[in-house]
Formats: sequence, C-alpha cells, structure tokens
Amino acid sequence: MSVLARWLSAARRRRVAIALVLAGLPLAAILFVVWRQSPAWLVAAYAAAVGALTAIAAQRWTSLDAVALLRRLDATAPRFEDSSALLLRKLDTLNPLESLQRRRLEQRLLEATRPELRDPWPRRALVVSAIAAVLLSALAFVPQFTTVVATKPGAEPAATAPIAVRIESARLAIEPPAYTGVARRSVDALDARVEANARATWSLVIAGAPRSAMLQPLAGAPLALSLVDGRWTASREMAEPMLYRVVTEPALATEDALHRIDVIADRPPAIRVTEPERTLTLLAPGQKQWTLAFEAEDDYGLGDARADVTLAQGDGENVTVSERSMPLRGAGDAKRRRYTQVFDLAALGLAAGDDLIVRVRVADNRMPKPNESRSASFILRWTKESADEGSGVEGLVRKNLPAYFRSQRQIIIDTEALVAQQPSLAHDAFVDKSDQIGNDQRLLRLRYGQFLGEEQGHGAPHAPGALGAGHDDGDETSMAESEQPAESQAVLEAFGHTHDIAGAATLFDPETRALLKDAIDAMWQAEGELRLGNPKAALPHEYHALERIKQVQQASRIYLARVGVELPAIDPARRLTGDRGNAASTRDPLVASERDDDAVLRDAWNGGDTAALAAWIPAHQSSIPNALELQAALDGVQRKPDCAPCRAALRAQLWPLLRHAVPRTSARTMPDEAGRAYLDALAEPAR
Amino acid sequence: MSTTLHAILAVALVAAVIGVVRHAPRRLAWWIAVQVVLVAAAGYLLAMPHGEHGETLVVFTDGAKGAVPPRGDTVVALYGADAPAGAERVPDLATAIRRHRGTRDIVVVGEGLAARDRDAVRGFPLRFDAAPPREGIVSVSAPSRIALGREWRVRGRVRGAEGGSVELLGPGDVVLAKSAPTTGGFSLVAYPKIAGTLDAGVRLLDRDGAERERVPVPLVVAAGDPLRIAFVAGAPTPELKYLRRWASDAGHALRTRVALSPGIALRDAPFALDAASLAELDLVMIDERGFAALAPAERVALDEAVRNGLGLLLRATGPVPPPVAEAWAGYGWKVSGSGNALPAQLPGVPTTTTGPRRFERADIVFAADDAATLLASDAHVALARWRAHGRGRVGTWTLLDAWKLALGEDGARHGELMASVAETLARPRGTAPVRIARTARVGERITICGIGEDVRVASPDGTTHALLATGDQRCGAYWPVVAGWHDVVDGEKHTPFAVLASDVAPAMRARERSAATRALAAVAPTRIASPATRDWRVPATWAFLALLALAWWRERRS
Repeated sequence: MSVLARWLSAARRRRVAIALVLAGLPLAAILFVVWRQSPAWLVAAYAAAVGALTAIAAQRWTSLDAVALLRRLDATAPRFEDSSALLLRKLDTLNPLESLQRRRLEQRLLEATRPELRDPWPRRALVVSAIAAVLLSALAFVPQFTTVVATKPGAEPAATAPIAVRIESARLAIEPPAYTGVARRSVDALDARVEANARATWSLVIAGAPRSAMLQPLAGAPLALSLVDGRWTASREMAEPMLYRVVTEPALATEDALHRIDVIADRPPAIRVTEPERTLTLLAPGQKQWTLAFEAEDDYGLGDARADVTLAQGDGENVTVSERSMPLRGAGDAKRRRYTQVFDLAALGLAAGDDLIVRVRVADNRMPKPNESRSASFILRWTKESADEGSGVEGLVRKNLPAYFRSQRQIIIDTEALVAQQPSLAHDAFVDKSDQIGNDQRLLRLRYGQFLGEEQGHGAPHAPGALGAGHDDGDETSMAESEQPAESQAVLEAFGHTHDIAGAATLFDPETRALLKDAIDAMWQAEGELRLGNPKAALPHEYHALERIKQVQQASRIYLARVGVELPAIDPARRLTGDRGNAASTRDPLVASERDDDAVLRDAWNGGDTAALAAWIPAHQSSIPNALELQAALDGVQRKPDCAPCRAALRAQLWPLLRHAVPRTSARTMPDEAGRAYLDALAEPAR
Repeated sequence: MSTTLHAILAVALVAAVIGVVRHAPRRLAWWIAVQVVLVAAAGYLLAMPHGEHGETLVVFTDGAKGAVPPRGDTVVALYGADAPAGAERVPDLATAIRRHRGTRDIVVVGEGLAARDRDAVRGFPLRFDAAPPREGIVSVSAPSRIALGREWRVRGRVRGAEGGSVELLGPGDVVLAKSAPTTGGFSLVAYPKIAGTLDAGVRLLDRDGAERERVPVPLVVAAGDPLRIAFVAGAPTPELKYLRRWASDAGHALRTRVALSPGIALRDAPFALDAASLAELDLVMIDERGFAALAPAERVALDEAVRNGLGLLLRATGPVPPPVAEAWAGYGWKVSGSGNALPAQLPGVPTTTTGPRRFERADIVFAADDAATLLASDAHVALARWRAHGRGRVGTWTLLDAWKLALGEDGARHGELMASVAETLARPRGTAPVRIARTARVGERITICGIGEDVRVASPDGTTHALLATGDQRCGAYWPVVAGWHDVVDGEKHTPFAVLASDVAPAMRARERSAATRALAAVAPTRIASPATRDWRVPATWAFLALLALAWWRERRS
C-alpha cells in the first residue's frame, strides 16, 4: 500500500503544481499592478491571492483520489490486468480467486517501476497563462491610472481604486475694474461677491481627466473651461449676478452644487447740500454773493462736479433764460469731498425780478459710463418790491391778473372803434365784426369766470335775463338729460359728473366775490349786445365791467391754484349726429383682477408647470427682489422633482411674490335630514 | 413570589407525596400524604405575599423622571417612559393590568396617559401625580381648514418664555406674523394666498432670538365656492362699488338692481325677483327702500324662497317705513329706531371722527329672541345679526359705510367682512365634510367620520388603506404610521389632513395628556367596581381548615 500512497501523493503534487503555476502567474501580475497603482491595497491583495491559491491547491489535491489513480494505473499499465481496484478492497471480503489475484498484484506493485501516473504539464495552458500575466502587468503602466499621483506631487498617492471626476481645488481670481481702486484678489471658492464689471477668472483642478468642462449658468450661455497647465480656466466680465454649476464630461461624481456670483453694483454719488438749507432763497437786501455748499460721497471715488447755473430774467411772458455750466473743485479725499461755490451776483448779471437757479451734478469714475447724480434745483430769487411775493403758500401768489384787465380795456377800444366805423361798413360786416368782439368778450368772461369756480362750456346759471340763441353751452348737459340712460356707466357719467369745487379754485372774500360777479354779469350783458350786433349798447356794460375789475384789482390778492382744467377738445363734427360708433360697450367693464403672473406662480406652487416659471423669471428679473434665490430653488426642484425640501424652498421663494388673495367663501354644509326637520319645526308657528 | 419558585415548590410537594405513598405502609400512606399537603398549604398561606391582591399599581409615564415610587407598590413603566430602577417595563397599561390581576387602584406618575392607555384605566380608582408642566408651546389652536384669503387666526399659549417671541411661519420659514406674548397667550393672523395645503408652523424664540421650539400647524386652504348674489337697493350707494369689486374678484356672480327714480333703475340685466330666479340665487341683499319698491308678488316669492334656504340680508340705511317694518316682522325681526346716522366704531379698526375712517350706523334696532350677532361695534352694539327663517337665514345690517374699510390700509377687512356675511347667510350648498376629530399624530389612532363606502386613506409613503365606516356617524379608524399630508379619498372627493410626527410639540402633547388624565382621575370611582380576579384566599383557608379537621378527626379515631 505504501507504494500506492507514494504514487498517489506524487500525482497529487503534480496536479497542484500545475494549478499553482497556471493561476499564480496572473495573480502575481495583478499583485504587481496593485503595487504600482495603490500600494495601500497590496497587503489585502496579497492576502486574497494567497487565499485563492490555497483554495485552488486544496481543491486540486482532493480532486484526485486512490480510485482515480488506480483507474489511471489500469489504463497505463497492462500488467495490472484491469484489476487494481482489488488493492483497495478489504481482505476478508475477497473470494479465493480475488485473493489470489490481489497477491499477484501486490507482488507486481513491488517489482514495478513507477508508471507515469502524474498529469502531464499542459504546455499550451501555461503559455496562455504567461501571456495573460504579461498583459495584466502592462496595466500597471496605463497612464490614466497614474493621474492622481501626478497631480498631487509630494502627497501620498490617493488610495481610491476607481478614480472619479471631481473638483480637486477651485480658485476664483477677481479683477475689479481699474477705476474702483480695489485690489485684485482671489478666493478658494466658487462663490464670491464681485464688483460690477469685474473680471472673474476661474481656475479649477479637476481630477479624473474629464474630456471637457464648462460653467453652466442657470440663465444664459455656458462658459467653456479650457485646460491650461493642468488647470481648467475661463474668464468672464461679471455685469450681472450669476448662478452656475460646473459641468464636466463625464459628469462630476461628487458635487453638483449651485454656485453663486453676486455683483456689488456701483452706487451713484450721494449729494448732500448743506447750504442753502431750502431750495428757494430770497435775496436779502444788499446781498452781493450767494454761497452753495455741499458734500458728495461715492463708494469708489468721485469724478467731475459741475454746477448748472440758470438765470431767468424778465417778468411775465418776457422771460429770457440763460444757462451755463461751471466746474467745481472740492476738498477732501477721493471718496468724500466738500464743495463750496460762491456766486458773485453782480458778475452773473442778476437784477431785480430775476431768478438764479443752480443745480449741481456729481459724477463718479465708473467706466465706460460714469454714474451721475444731480441735486435738487436751488433758486435764489430777487423779488421785485411791486411784483410777485410769496412765501409759505402752496400756490403761486400774484397780484390780480394784469393781462386780463388790459384785455377788457382792449375790448372797449375795439368796440369804440367799431362804433366809429359803423357808418362806413356794410350791415353784415358790421354785425360780423361785432360778433367777433363778442367772442373776445366771451373768452374773457370765461377765463375770468374760473376765479369764481365756474366751469368752461357751461352756461352761467346767474346770467341775467335775455340772452339770444347764440348760447350753446348747455347743449351737452341737456342732451344727457333728455336721453334715457341705457346702462349704469352712462348714467354715472351724466349724473356723477364732478364739478370743480369752487372753494378749491379761489379764495375770495365775499366783497371781492360780489365785485367779480358783478363784473362778469356786466361782461355777459356786453357780450349779448355785441353778438346781437349792437356794440353801442354794449359799451356801458363794458365800462361797468372794467370799473368793477379795477375795484377788484385794488381790493385784494387772489391765489391761483397750480392745477388747471384740461378738458379734451370737443369734436364738433360728431356732435348731434347720433353716431355711437366709439361709444363704450354695454358689457360690465368690471372684470376679476387676475394677472398673468398669478397663474404661473400658482402652477409652480402646486408642483405643476415649472418650465413656465423658468421662462417667467428672466423676464421679471429686475422687478422681483429674490430672483437668484428663486432661480436656485426652481433649479433644485427641476433636478429633483421628488425632493420635498426642494419644493418647500421653492414655495418659500414664491410666497412673497404671490398676491394677497381676495377673501373667498365656503358654502355652508347642507343640513341633513334631522337638521331639516329641526329647522322646519322651528319655522312652524307655536301651538 | 415568582412563578419559578411556585413551580419548584409544587414539584417538591408532588415528589414528597409520591415518596410517602410509595414507601410508607399502605394503610397510612394516604393519610401521611394528606398531612404533607396540609403542611405545604399552611406554609403557603403563611408565606403568601400580601401585595399580590389589592395592590396599588404605580404607572410611570413620560416625564416621570426623578419621581420616587412609593415603597411596596408595584411599579410599571409604560413604553417610552423613564423607568426607576426595579420598575417593570410594559408595552401599555392594559398589559400591565393584565399582568397584575390584583390591581385595586392605579397611580399615574408623570405627564399622563396617552390616548391608547386611557380606556384601560376605566373602572379603577385613579390618582394622578402630575409632573410639572413642560416649558415651550403648550397649546396651539387654529382652524385646520379655511377658505382662500380669509383671516386665519392662530391662538395659543407658551410657558416659560419670558421676553421671548412667537412667530407664525409660512412655507420655507417665511415669517407671516410675530408677537411677543407677555402673559403667555398669543394670537397671530395670516392670510393664505393660495389654495391647497399649507405647511405653516409656530416657532417660539427665546429672548436672544434663538429657536426654542417649533410646532407645525398644518392648514388646508379651500378654493371657496362661488355664490350667486343679488343686490337690490332703492338708491345708488358706494357700498355697491366695493361689493362689486369683491364679488368679481372672489368669483361670485352678482346681479344688481338699483332704483334711481320711478321707472328708472340701474341694473346689469333684466331680472325679476320671482320664484324661478330666486331659486337660482344664494343670497339677496336688499335695503329698506328697495324692499318698499317690491311688488307684492315679489315679496311672497322672496319669503317662500327664504323658507326654502335662500339667504336674505336686510340693510337698514335710514328710517324704515312702517309697511316695510311690518313685512320684516314677518321674518322675525322687530324693527324700531329713528334711522338717523350715529357714529359707530368697528372693533380693531382705528377710527377718526372725520374722514374716511369715520363709520356710521343707522339708528335701527332689529330685535329677535333667537338672533346671533355677526358683527358688533366696539360699544357692543350689534351692527349685523342673523336668525334662521325656515331653512334659510335672514340677516340684518345697520352699518352705513362698510365700504370705507376697503379704502384703508387694511382693505382686506372689507372682503373679510363681506365673505363672513355671505358665508353665514347664503344658501347651504356644500356636502357634509369628512370630519377628523383632532390633530393626528404618528402612532395614535384617529377617527375619520362622515365617510361613505369604499373610502381609502392615501399616506405620503404611497400606501393606501381602506377605511371601514361604522355607526351613525360613519366613522372609521386609522393609525397613521408616517408623518405628512394624508388624503382621505372618497370617490372624487379628496380631504387632505396632516399627521404630525410623534416627537414634535412635546409640551403640547404633555399638556393634552395631563389634561385628559386629570379629567379621567376626576371621574374615576373611589373603589374598584369588580375586582379583576376572585380573591381565593378565603375559600383556600376554609378548605385548609376542613382538611385539618379531617386529619385531626382521623387521628383521634385511630
């Protein structure tokens, strides 16, 4: 048996050796690759390899047993006569013939030289295994695997087996515009606040050798990054804030966050005028100079300052205006200066009754177009003793209407001339001229009537007595009155016509008012006579009106409100034609207030159409204060539609943009059978 | 005495009896066995623990930390409670009572019993040893469902936040309102801007502005139901202008008829107050002049319509003519007063004696025994009241210039007032809503009432559960397992409701539990009604004595 055992052991050793060589070569190659690429894993890989080899060896060892060996012995050595299996049987189970044969076999076993029972070396498999090992070892020199090591010189090689695309480091260089005087700086981040129009230069180290990379703003064109000396760089002038993310191909494995560049706008200079304290200054008697002092401040530096000086000379309608602009020099540093300008009034040519209007402009150094601030206008007024005077009143205070009264005198002159010409004129021409003067008189009366709170185009209700057919003022009203109103709007217009409040237009004491009324009555009479072609009869009324007006002029001052009535011109071609072509529709013009925005915002709120909101935001960028935040929140929802916190963030941004809702009502619940019975019982009269 | 010990003793006794029976002389064997049993029984009776029967069960609940259990009593700690050393952990109170059958009364220590444990204590004398109340937001009450744009008032109380402030938070922590509770109470108002579900919340900040606690206050905002309203007046009034604006924006259909002079009226389209058109209306607003101009047939139709559910608002804008007052008496209102304009001050509206902030009311009193007040002035003069008339409701209105509310800064108040009036008076048209009794929390059973057949609850994790409705109220039970918005789906009808996580608002939960437990303790019986098990000590003693007597008698005879 010991011979048999020796043979078996030899066959097994051969078999294990073949397996170890076949598997060992590739495993060794793998170990080599691991050692080259990530030595930290070498021990683990070695352990795994040894374990694998041990397992293979054990399997191979046990795969060959004595039975198989004897079968192979029978096949290779005919001397054993196909009966070597007897060697394994117990002696007492053998019949005599078998015992005999067994003894013979044992004898031959001792005599025999060992037959070749071991597996032959599988040459072809060994060659394939060796080639595989060589190929595997070549992996150790693949450059892609070595990038990590190359980009981090001096550092321990990264221990990650799969190398992901990720941003190793980011640097953002900010070069503010030269005029700001802010030094260029760089931050190790992708978010920053930069000055308006600053040049931002990104410089990223991206591990994993992406094929391409770019900065993708949420709104706008992407900015491609180019690889220079192992750094991905790009540059852009930042005029507007931007939300962006870094997009690479293949995609970034780790971060996908939004980054934000805020833009600090260049503020225009702030002007604070210290002297004079008020915008309107009255020239003090004997004053020769006028001082204007102000302070200007800017965030980056002040530029030119100029004073625009306007001199308004003359009175009434004869006003000449001359303008000039003069540079100002200030004292102080670049960001904050004080300016003091003394105007020599004599040199400017200021005379009594003139206004000197000064306004200052201060620019900053912004490029290409500077910001410019203007101050309010400051007025120095040299009031004429006899002319306008006013202080502390809202309206413009004037003496009584000089122009109008001259016109009344002019009407008298015209009338007298017409009376003188009467004999030499044809009757028609005479009546015509008289009518023209009457028209002038009417205009004067109407203008004058304003001071009594009368309206243009309305007949004077206090018009005394006989007035001819020439009076057409009341037509508009009478038409509206005679017409049966078809719809509420028309009626409201007709009946709800707002009259000017007399008290707001004039401030007369009763005596003056009576005088003025008397004058207007006289004008009315004069006009009537003139229109009838009777200028001679008109003259006494005209004189009466003039006299009354003189009295009014001497009586008191009047106050003119600065507002005037500007009615649209009446189109005479359309009057009384019955054409209602452009009349308003009879449909109720009241519609529920709903903006287009409402639907967009509501949809986005309810988780519906976010694309509409995405289109809406850029169009309203300037009017919504939280545009960037809204954009970021929307982007979050669009990328992860199922993310509840993202949706909450979007709602938070949408909430301030939503309009207040009009209070709605919920319909009352219908009573059930018992409720109805109860109500019916309540309604029954008590018995 | 533990069950194991009992078992060992029983085995020993049986072994002793068997030993005696096998080895003793046959004649005496059974008597010796009986004696052995008697000795054991005596020992058992003597050694029987006293507490096993008629014991006091001390139940530790949440917040009982630091409480010292009384000696000798059985102490159990409910799930989640801080248990003292030696206390027995029980999943719920019913289990504890089942394990301790001799329980005669119960002492609850801590914050109180959760809803699931409250039924278990019924019938037991209950004493509640309450823990000191927690600090934080102890109560928040707010409507869980309102119509869009309406005033949403959140009231509540905080404890232990001197100098702090309370904020009402909207979605994404937008601060909707803020107040500094001086006496602990707060009242915050917000106006929902959009229909749907709103994840609002109340946040308590301490003196330094740091967040102390946050309680979600979920709200369902209904889009509202459009109403059909008719406005009939005897003269033009500015009221109409702003009513039209509100009705148009809120989606209501408003028809108007304003008389100008005999034969001339402003109206949007011809309409008569006959039975057919009144059946198409939900609310009619009419003033005394408009009423006076109604034809007799119109009055009859109006009365009939109101009895069938139409809402009617009687606006008194001046003296009410006697025929009109008589007609209005038919609606149950006794009308008196001169009709002169008197100054009125609206609650919460800063008023002035002149200008647009000066309000006036007509000096008309609508008297009815069964009327409810809809709007009262600062001086508690009713400006609007209503009462039921048949199946409809009839309201009265004496405020002359509600429209001025629309001019001020708080223009929303005008719409709010109009909406509340319309909502109260208008014809009932809504179907009965699904009712959910209280704020739902994860792990606490809630009942959902007013549901039909085949109703399902969809939870945020995507699962749905069918509800089985029982009883007259058609209620079904539901145990929420995840927090978030759930939806009761009844055919086409969806009723969202929120479920809060079990660990939010601990102070509120503690207060609710202690209040409920205190209420239970107040009505608990002083003696246990029926003991959990029969006390078998007495019959055992009699049996022991009988056996003893038998043994003695046998001994005497032999």
